Amino acid sequence: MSWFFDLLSAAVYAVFIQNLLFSGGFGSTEAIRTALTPRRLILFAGFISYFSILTSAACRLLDDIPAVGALGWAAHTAVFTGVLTAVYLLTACALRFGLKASRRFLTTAGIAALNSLVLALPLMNRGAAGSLADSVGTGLGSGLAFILAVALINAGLKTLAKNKHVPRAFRGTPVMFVYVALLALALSGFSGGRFFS
Amino acid sequence: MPEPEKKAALAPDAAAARRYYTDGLIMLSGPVFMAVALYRIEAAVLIAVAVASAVACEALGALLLKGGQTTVRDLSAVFTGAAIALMLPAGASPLLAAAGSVFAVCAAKLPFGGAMHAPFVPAAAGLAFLCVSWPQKVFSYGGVSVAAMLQVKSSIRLNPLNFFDLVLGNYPGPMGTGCIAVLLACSAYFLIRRRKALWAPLGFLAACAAMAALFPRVYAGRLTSVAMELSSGAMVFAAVFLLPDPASAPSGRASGFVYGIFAGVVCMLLRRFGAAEEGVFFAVLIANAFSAFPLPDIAGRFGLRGRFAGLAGKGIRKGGAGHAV
Amino acid sequence: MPSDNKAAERFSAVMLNRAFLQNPVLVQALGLCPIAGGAVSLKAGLVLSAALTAGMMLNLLAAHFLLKRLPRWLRMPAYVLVALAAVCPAGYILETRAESLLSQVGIYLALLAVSSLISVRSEKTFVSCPLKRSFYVAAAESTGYSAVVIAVAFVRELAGSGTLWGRTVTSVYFAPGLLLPFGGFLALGFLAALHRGTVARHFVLRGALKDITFDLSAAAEPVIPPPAPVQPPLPTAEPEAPPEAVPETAAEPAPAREELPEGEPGGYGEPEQEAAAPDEPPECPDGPGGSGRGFKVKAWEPPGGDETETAALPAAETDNAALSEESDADGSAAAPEHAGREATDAAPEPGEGGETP
Repeated sequence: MSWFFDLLSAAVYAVFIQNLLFSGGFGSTEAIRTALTPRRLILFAGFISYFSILTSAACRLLDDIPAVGALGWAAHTAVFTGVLTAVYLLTACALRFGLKASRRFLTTAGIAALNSLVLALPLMNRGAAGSLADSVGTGLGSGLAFILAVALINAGLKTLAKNKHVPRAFRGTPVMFVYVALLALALSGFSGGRFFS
Repeated sequence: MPEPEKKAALAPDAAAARRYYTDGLIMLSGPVFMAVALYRIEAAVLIAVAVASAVACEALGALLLKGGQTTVRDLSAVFTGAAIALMLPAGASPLLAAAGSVFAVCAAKLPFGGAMHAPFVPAAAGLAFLCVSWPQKVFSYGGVSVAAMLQVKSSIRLNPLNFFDLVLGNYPGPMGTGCIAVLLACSAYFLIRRRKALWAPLGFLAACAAMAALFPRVYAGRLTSVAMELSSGAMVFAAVFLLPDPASAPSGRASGFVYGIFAGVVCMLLRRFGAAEEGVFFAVLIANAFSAFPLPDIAGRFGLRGRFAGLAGKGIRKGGAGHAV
Repeated sequence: MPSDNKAAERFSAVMLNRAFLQNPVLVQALGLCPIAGGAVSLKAGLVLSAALTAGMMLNLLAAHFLLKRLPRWLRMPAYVLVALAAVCPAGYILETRAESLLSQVGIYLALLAVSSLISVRSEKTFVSCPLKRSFYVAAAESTGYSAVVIAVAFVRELAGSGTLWGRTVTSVYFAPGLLLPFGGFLALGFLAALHRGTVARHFVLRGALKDITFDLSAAAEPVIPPPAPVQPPLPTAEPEAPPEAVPETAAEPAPAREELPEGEPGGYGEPEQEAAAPDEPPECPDGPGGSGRGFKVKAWEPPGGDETETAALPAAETDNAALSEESDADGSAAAPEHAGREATDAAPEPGEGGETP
């Protein structure tokens, strides 16, 4: 039962205490661009959670192998990225050949898989020496964190769009960056700092 | 020969802002007076530096951002600087106050076209920035504050003497937020000038009191917990001066009350689980962020529109001036 | 030699447009994660920019020579693996020679392997465009990205640590909070504002700045003045010919600018190519004009599914072809803004295989 609570607390931590996007900047490009067209947000976030869980869990299990655990930074990066790529390829093959998924669907899956948010999790879990439950929990939380971030950014962008008083120099991308910065500042109240690197 | 142009009157937005911030400064005069009376020259210097920094940044920003409106005359910078200074310890360095004011104006106000269009309360953003940059300096009061006692689950014995000490701010803390009596007296101004703006602070304090009673951090009784939580840190000050910000708070009564409750719950969670002993600044910012979501029309859905039209939430902020001011 | 001059002009036009006017970070908002989280010192910024440039160039070669034949869903992981070939050696060198710098950069160096800038540029340009053009684009966008990374790193190290290149500049006047990711976004915001103000001031007549990505309001005041109407050239052979008989060299309506497909998160998709053979590489979408994309803005969908659609930008307005890389480099031409590609496309250069207008 403690495994379940560890998983849940890791998920809540990833969503609220140290929101992965705002406290670490992971997946911010995807979040900002998705905030403009959030129609497939749930699907996209679901893919992120799916790939995060599988990749984090697989990398965590691989790290238990002494030969893998003793590898240096570069080799670890290569192994983890390879695992992520393999998970994506297996999923894409299943979608493409098993379910006859469309190109757009596969593209969505690809973008959801191959982004900084998904790859950051196994690297962070290794740095924090997290357990398997922590790995799965942060994977689960990553999708929810993404949804929260996109929702907040989208709501803010809509407010900014109605604001005719934004100075010329700040219209568009600049004020959007500042807004995201203040969102990140707001959510740093729980952690007070950033993730371990 | 054409007549020389007279000095342009304030635009309606700016006029509304000036009215609001004039009222705010009148309300702030109480805490300012108390701070200067207690801490003398230190407090005066801190407030002066913070206000001057804020005004200077605003003026420079108006000069550089030629497309932006000139908002120095609406007194929002004066209000922001004074509020930031009052939430700092009296022994804080003037540079700290200046840094907070500069951040509040440059990052939370100018890019959005002024205080009446800023989605986040500038003073809260300035304090939040100081909290993450220099947490030790922001929370060092030369003694053990009530908030610090709560963090280590240490309580005071709530007798009449201690209760009056709490209400009058005789414990270490921010220089302008300790005297609850003065703050509550100032908030009576709300009843006269802007009754609608009272709902958010009421909801906030009600939620904080409820959380303190239901989930006390000290074991000396629920009443002691409520008294300590409400009198610690900058909670009441933030409720009165930061939360009802017209640009970021909802305009309706029900929506304002819900907004206040949300901010209160987040504030208490931050106090319990956050990194710093005081999380009200972050709670205000988080509430600002979530207030951008459109609320459903509760009254319309239940057929109450017309009967209780004044209570129904009419949605979240309308993007700036013109409401709740 | 005239051809050398023309090539140099074209390269400088691409560099101006891609690195500055349509900066991949400040305008297109690509590759934000390493900047927000990793660019906390000048050394870290240099490392990140060098690694990204190397990854970009490797992907250019791989995409152009090898990956064209693969379907898109296989190309995407290939970009990551190719970029890894730049990231891992950089990490290994740091690990063996400068471990403190590696701990500073942290996982953000590893995350360059999945950089959105590399993926997007590889898919949109390197796979489909000629090698020379792809090289120009890669060089320009790497330069633009590196400039932003280094600028942000410079500001954050100085203002956040009080140091520069590891040497103490001030022990008092610095704010450690700026080293957090929110400081990175804030630095990006102000840098983008400086960029926008500069570009809008000096390039407004050319219609070069199209901050269309985040121009969410159809009622937003346009930065660029409306264009002058395009006058078709008068027919010389048949003076009595009706206007419809204008020769084909006159302006033809440009194809509608590609818009972001509905519901395609991240803006990487190309819905028009759904109808084409799915395994063929896309046509080179980058005309002489630019690289920006128009984003159709959708309102946030509440759970009830009541979707309201904000006004999409007109197709012509989303076209970034106003600044032609083929046009004169001195900027004297005031290209009509809304005339679409036909006003700014030059004829494909002979020997280049013809770029798609």
